[in-house]
Amino acid sequence: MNLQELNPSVKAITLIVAVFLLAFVFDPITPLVFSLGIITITFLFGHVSFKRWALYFIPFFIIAFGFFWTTLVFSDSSNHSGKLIEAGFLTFPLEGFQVAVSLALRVLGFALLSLLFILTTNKTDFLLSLMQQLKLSPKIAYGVLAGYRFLPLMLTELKTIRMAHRIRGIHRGKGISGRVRELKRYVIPLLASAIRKAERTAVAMESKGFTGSRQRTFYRTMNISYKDWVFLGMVLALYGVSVYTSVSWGYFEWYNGQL
Amino acid sequence: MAPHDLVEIKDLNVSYEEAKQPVLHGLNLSLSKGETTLLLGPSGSGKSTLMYTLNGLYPEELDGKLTGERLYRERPYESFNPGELSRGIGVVFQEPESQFCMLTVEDEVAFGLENLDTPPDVIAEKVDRALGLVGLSDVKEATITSLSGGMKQKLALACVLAMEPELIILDEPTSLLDPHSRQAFVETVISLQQEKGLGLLIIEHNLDEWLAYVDRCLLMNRNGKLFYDGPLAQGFHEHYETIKKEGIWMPHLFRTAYQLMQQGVINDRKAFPLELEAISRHIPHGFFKGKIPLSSAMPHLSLENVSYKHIIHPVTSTIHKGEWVAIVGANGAGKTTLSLLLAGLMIPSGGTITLNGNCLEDYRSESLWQEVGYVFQSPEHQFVADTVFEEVAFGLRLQERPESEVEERTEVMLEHYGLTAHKDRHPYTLSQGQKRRLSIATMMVENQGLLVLDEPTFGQDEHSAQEIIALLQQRQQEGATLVMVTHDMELVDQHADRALVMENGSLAFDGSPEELWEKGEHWLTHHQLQPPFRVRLEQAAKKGADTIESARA
Repeated sequence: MNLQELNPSVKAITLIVAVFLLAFVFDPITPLVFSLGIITITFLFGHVSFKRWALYFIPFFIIAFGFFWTTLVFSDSSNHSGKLIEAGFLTFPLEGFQVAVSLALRVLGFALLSLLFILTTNKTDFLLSLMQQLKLSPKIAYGVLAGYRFLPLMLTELKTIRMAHRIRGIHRGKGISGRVRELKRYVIPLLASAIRKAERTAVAMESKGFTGSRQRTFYRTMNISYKDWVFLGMVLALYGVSVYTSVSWGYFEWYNGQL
Repeated sequence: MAPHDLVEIKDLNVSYEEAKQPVLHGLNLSLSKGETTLLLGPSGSGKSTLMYTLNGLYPEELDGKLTGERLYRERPYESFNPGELSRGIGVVFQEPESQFCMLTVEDEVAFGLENLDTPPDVIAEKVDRALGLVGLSDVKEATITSLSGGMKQKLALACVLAMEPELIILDEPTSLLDPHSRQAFVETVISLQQEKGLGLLIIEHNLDEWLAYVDRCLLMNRNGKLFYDGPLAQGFHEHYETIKKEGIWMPHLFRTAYQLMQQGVINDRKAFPLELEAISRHIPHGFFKGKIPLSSAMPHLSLENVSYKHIIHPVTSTIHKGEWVAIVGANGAGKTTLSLLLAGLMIPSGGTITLNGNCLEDYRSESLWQEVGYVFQSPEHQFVADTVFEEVAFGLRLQERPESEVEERTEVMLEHYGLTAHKDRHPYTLSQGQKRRLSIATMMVENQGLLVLDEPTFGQDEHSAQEIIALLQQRQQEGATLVMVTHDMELVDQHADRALVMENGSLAFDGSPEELWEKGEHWLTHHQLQPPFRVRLEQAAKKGADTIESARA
């Protein structure tokens, strides 16, 4: 199986279902086993370069660690019933530690699911599939695609405007108010050119017969195959295994307003 | 002329809501299959409006009023369903970048066909055929961003061709291309036209490349009126003075032929010749007053092994005081990057640049901008104030000059640049030519000694281009150093003292324009350049003389 070949809409739905299922559980073991499973799937079937994955993963990891640390340090230590853990100069209740780990792993689980989707899905395919399987209006889908082409253009534009203003003798803004004033000056030329560009693109699309109607054919047809159901089954099974492991190790707990 | 069987326009009037005057005024026009027509007019004469009217986007997208009759194959435009007309009429736009909405080449070509409800297997076939026609089959699966400017424009053409229209409208399709890509694009279009018997309507500023292939031309004036419809060479001859007055670009061939006719060197005929060979042997010696290259010994700006990331490879050169330097080369060769480095707007990643003997990086930014000006390709990027007056005064105010001096110098500047009448308007509401003049004015108000310009005449009609060039010439006479990035070989030939040719980020040539032309056709083509009209004419004359020689022998 190759994750790149899956139908993007079914893949997205599968992953959204997984996010919900994961949200119902609040213990450290279920998300841990599940995350490890997702990582395995990502690399086994996703043909994702580790370097790229890691690059995207690092910020999520930092955020998750932040959650872990703040929850741990600010956990309510007066109201515990169990053991205490001592680590160096810190002492905290076991319960607080568990909550912190659960929270962090849960964030990581969500992040890993998103990464799996982002790194194995072609943007054009995703939009095509949204139109073909989920009946998204072509007006919106092609609008998004055209917009996606715009982003890098806008960035180059911003750089140029910045230089153009610098040579007029305007200094980079100092302090917050200076920065705001600086930004304000960029907004008008940037918007003016963005609107003009968008208009041109719209005109070009229309002159190629685009009307936004659903009455159109597709050069590339996105199909749903048995592989998509296999993937769904695989993710659900992984969830089942995670929950089973957690239950059998005695950690399992439904989400019940912890924190 | 073929019977007019494609488009018929009768008594067309178009006006925009906010304007007092209609943009198009009582227009009658017909277009037919297999005919190549040039549509010419100064900026603001309503050429684009006419294009949108012809391809059916107006009146739907128009904020204003459209009256008159429009027929496609004898059927009124109004009776077509939305999008249906695009089967018959296709458009290639000026900007290669903003006419695409997909990410890859094949998807983009397929897009139009999908809109027409074409079955997928037929789309695949047509995509292949269209890409084959323009020579892009090899990059079928590539992303659009990886293509060069010339290739993007060919892709735009392929998208339209795939839909198999009978009429193709080209809206300044070559204006952003380097000289050689321009020639190649024109040749592609024309050979396809001849093969398929398409109707072509070409809106252009730069007509030199099209001359040989055009059957008919339409001339429009500033008021949106069509004042000529007929054979090109005859129309230009008949309306020579009007065309010059309106600011429509005059092809060099016609201009020269006109001068020769005036001097009685060649007979005054009803029409201008369309080939160089027709006038080349009549050119009297010393007909072209070549520019005497200015060279001073005083270095103004020196580059030593200047490089920038992977874009510019070590460049060493010295620009002297008072020189007019042109940076030329293919699209994407690093011309603009080099110009930004020269102006201190980008910091080189290697090597040093010295300005007046001091390291460029050591200038404090305020004092640097009193020495260097940079005019960007799009003038709007540089505007920071709400009125034209404040725009010019801005630099002086920054220096906290006394108010009386600011006002006096600004007034002088506005007068000089022909902007006094517009001084209270918002800079964005000016015309293309006025915007460009304003952006140059803002860069000269402090008497900067070095002025760098990116495509100073781009998008201008002949009238405003000449005004800009006159201003630059004057600036040079006052002792300023000018560096310009350009695709216009005529500009290089007539005004530059020196040319720098960029190739893939390296400096491939550094010398006078005359020496550059001597490099020969092959070398120039390799660098996506072309000899200017004067040199091509001389070459044609020489070739003609050689043929006569050999015939005698």
